[in-house]
Amino acid sequence: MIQRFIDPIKLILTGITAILIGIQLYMVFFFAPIEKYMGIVQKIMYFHVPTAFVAFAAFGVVFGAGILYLITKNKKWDYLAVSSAEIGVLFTTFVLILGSMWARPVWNTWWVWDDPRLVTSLILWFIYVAYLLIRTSVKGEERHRKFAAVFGIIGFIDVPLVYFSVLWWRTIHPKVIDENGANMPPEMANTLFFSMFAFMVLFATMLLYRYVLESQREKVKEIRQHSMSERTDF
Amino acid sequence: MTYLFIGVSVMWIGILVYMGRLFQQQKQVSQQLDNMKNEARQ
Repeated sequence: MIQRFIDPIKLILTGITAILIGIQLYMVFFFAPIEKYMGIVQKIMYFHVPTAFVAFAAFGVVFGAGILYLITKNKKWDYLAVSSAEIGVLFTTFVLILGSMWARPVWNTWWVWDDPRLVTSLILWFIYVAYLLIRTSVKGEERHRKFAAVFGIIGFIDVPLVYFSVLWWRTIHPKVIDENGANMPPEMANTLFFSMFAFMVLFATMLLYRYVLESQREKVKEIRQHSMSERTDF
Repeated sequence: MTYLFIGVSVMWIGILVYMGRLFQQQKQVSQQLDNMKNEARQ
């Protein structure tokens, strides 16, 4: 029954995402002013910050779905967790690449090893790559789902560490958004917040596609196992 | 400009490649499900 509504929802979400991303690109390159000191390279911020927020949201979904899986033992929460973790790793990769691309012309280096924001972000990437690897290495379906859920919940501890690292420790990383809001002119702030919204919708769309694939893949696996057990019964 | 262009291009190419892979796998899985339904009917 739900399956019948999935395809139209996918189409509508894809259309909305395409429109939002189009508006976002227009705002970044034609609406937001060029920063006085850094120049045009500062526009990386409109991609770097939203990708970071998508990564946080994705790992938040892994955390929530992990808890719900452990409580209900419903496989659907596990499908959601693995789908979100994969997208989270993808976006954390973009955060690291875009951050380095911004750091090279501004800080004159690709990477700073003693900066807490950078190091905690890299650790976050490793945690969720490990999460995805664990799923393939632990034997037993029920066991690997449980193990992955626990790992995803514990791994989430790093997300607030990444977020608050610029407030808690000395860092050269700029504090783009703090308790006073966005530290920039309104045109830049509006572009940044719109970019964050557009990327969140992009995340929702990608998650829906990935979740549907995961649930159908498991369905195929279940049917195969079922037919195999029927054959061995004879 | 070069850093902005390379960074944003890498991100969008990455997203498009990932989505392309998802579409391809979805197509395969849907095909497998259809085949299984047909087999069950026969």
